[in-house]
Amino acid sequence: MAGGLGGIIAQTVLLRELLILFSGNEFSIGVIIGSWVIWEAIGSFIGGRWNKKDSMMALILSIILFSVSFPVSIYITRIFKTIAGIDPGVGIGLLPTFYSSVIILLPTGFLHGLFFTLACSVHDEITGEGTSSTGKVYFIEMLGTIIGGIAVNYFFITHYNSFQISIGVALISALACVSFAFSTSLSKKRIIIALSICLSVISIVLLTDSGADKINNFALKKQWPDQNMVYYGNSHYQNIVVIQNDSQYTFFSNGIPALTAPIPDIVFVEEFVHFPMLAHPSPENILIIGAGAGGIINELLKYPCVKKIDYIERDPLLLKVIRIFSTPLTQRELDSPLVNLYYIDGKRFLTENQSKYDMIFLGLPPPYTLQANRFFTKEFFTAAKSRLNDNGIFTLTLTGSLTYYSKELKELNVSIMHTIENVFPYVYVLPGDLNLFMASKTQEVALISPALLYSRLRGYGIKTNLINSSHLNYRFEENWRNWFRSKMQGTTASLNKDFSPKGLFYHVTYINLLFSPYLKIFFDYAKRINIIVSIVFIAALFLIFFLLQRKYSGTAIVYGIATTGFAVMILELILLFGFQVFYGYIFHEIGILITTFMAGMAAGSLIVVLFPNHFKKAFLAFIFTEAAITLFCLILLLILLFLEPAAAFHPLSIRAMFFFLLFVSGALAGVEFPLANKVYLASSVGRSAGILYGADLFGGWIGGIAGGIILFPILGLSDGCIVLITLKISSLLLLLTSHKK
Amino acid sequence: MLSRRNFIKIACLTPLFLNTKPEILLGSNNNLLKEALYYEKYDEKKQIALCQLCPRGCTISEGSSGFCRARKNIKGKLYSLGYALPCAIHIDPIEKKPFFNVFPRSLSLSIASAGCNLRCKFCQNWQISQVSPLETENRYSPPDNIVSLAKANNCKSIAYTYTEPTNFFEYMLDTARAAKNKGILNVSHSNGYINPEPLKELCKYLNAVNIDLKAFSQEFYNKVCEAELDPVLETIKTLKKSGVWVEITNLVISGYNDDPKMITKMCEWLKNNVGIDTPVHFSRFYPMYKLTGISPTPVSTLDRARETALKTGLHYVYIGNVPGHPGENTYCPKCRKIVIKRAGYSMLENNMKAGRCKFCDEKIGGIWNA
Repeated sequence: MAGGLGGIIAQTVLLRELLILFSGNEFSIGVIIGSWVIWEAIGSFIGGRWNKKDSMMALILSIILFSVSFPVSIYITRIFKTIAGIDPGVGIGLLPTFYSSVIILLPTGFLHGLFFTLACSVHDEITGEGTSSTGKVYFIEMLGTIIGGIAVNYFFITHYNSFQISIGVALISALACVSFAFSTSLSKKRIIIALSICLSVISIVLLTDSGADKINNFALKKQWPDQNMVYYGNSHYQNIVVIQNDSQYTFFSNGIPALTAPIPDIVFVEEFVHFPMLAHPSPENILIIGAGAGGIINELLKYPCVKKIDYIERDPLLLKVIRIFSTPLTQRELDSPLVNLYYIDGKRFLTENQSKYDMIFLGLPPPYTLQANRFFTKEFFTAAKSRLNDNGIFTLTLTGSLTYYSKELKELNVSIMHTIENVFPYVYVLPGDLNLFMASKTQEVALISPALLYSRLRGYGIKTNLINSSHLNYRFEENWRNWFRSKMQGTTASLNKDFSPKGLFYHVTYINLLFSPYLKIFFDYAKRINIIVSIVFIAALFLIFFLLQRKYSGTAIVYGIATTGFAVMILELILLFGFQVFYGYIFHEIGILITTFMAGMAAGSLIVVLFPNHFKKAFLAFIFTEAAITLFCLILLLILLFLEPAAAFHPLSIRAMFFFLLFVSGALAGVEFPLANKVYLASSVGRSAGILYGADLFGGWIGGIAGGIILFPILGLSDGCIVLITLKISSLLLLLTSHKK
Repeated sequence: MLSRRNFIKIACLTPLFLNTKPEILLGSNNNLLKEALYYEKYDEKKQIALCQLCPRGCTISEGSSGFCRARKNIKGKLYSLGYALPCAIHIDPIEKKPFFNVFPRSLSLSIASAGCNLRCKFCQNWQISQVSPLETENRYSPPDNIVSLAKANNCKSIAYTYTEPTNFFEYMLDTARAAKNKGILNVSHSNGYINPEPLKELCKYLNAVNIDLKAFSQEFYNKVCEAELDPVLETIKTLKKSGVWVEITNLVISGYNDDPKMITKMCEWLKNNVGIDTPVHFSRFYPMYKLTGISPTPVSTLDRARETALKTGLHYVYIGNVPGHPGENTYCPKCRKIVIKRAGYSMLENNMKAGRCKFCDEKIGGIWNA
């Protein structure tokens, strides 16, 4: 139990810390999860091969080591850039992301995997239950994971710093060891008890005497050297840091500056606000999604015609912190009676709120994660369009250039441009360091000219620093737009849709150029992966294992578990993401969804444990489960394909359906693992548990890394599901053609 | 000289392999691949070339390129890959380069070929500076074409900028020569990492140069740009001696080069070596390229830098990237009135007459209309 708890807590906390180290995009998220998973797999494999005599001792030692390595890993994450000789403000490329997460997660992940399988053999030894004991341990670990997951995400992260959490875990583990040691008859009992008690005492001291706090602050100073950090905190959504430099406050989100006050990036703020605002005859009702405070609202308030500004910010903590470290700029913005704050996901606001606007500004970052991509899709643009008044204008910015467009930057812009042109009849793209996209239902943006904008500016009598007649003439010169258009011509890029998040892929390939240009070739080839290539690949895989099967019995089971591990990771991703597509990213709901999934896994394994007789013909049951998983993928595909139009009509039942689907997918996976154990008769329980647990995790590793970046964005949902179905069919075939025991 | 077959192979296949569609017009001119200047055949047998264009002094083996990625050794001869193959051609106001004391409100035809001999972690044009001309989409534009383009578009000057112009030295030299013949000014924005000899040859045609003095610190140049400070200082001195108009840009990055002592030293050095008429632009930094986790420079830091520079005696000290800041204006050193009022790149007021202050007739340093 303590294992499950410790594992999920460690994984969660380290993931968040590492995200700050990597300025996390989708790929790094996958890499981090993947690295954790692979070390668990290796740890469990080794645990499976451990000599039974020493299992007990090894178990206790590994628990103690785990508790120590957890806080140490956090510390290493914070000082990693210093160790690696990288300046703290410098971003990290893909390869360093890879090896640093592999190194940092090694001890904790490995030890966690190790002690799970050791626990299995120890449990077996104590109770002599044989193969079903693995199922029991798996179930209890799941339970611990659920409890730990809920506790850490809902409560711990926002109230305690990482060191407090990790030392708390150490304490619980140490206490578990103590009680464990007492209840057994071990030769080196006294040493173990002494060690565990030491650990407990140290933990208690550190926790109560603000020792953990001191360590946290010390580590933070190393991570942010020579900076005056006036605030450090975690919300459900992100880590927020405030750095003070003279009279300037910079607010960082996961290590990246998000806004600066009191003097913002004037060029950005003025162009982003005034160019669209002046393109509209008289904008009264404004909606700004993200990035409102810190300059934009200030510019909006300059317009006498503005009557209402609805400002959507997902994370209440950010606004709270902005108010604490207030400057005349942000005070003016947040205190204005015209401004209404909504703490909600932007897409959700658009679908639920019925208000109509003259201007909708999208102030969110470009599609660097699956999450962020949702705001650049056809579906989002359609929702925005439906909330616009007739002559309303929708505005967004995207990474651009006034100098040169690489192929990657072209594809990113073409993709978003075609997507927005697909939805809005009139689109005006103003190239710049950030390309400004303005779209309208009626002719508004087509009428844009420097003279028109300037006359409106004069008419309002607005004071601006940068925007004047000559600046307008320069920026809106035909030459620039012609140049931009000529660069976009001849480049093909897919539309960006919720269930085909190509925008994310294009952005990742572009960002990759900054830090790891040597990987350009990899992305060039990855782009070409399609359904045919994948099916051919799976067929080849099948052949290999088919041949392997002739030599090693039980290969089919391992293959089955591995592919299920992969499939389940992808399914979870699809379902969680699908939910967000429809209902937005609301932290609490996502947390419950994940818990539902885990509960399903627990329930599944519990069923096998509690009703062994039903599963006497384990092999048949296993085949049956495999078939069920295949069918599930198919049903999921069909549901999601036809879901979108239905979602608007029956919101409640469809939400319930997501929970149900997650539970079922978890249950299927949960059933399969203990079943696989029953079938995979090996010389010892520990041994079979090890290999299978490892295979499960290995499949999950590939799924974790490849899922968010390759499978989903490149193939899209429907093709991705077909790949899964094909994969499970291949494992089914393998089973059917294997020699039965 | 390269055989026609080999040349076509190299020029065509390499870009094809890299999946780019270069807009290269082959034409029938075999001299498209331009042999470089300022190199020496270091080892004839092993076909190793020693490049002498910039302080790096790369020894380049056959088939390899130099650190700048823009000069390549083919069968023992060094070639300038970016010659007549710019990847960027744009018309910008001269203030963008930035030049505040040169023909205000004039247009500058700005060109660049890919490549750079530095590796600054905050490079704004990294897309073309950190790659070779073989990886970019280029437009074949021999020097005369560039000059005609400038004339046709009423550009008073041609600017060699965006990337490091030293890397397309031969192209810059030929174009500058042609431009001078046609009465068009030559300006450039450079990191100053060039050897004195090639620089002196270039100075025959250059009118104004903006040197990016990244920091007055050896350590900064080593750590953040993978280069050295001294060669840059030498370049600045050489330019001044050659009579070229020099403006200095210093991008101020919090925690890296904003130390007041460093800035004071820099201003003193400038005063003593280039003169108080040398304009200095202190620019505000925003997260860029690999420096993603650093706050923007506080404007107060820039204010202090400007104060320091003015106290040292420098006449023209500007603040960049903060539109609306009084530091965007040119002030008369004598009567302190605003002779040129600016916002961003736009000129709002011109109180000058034939290079002098309209109010007190003091001469204003720079290159002005007659």
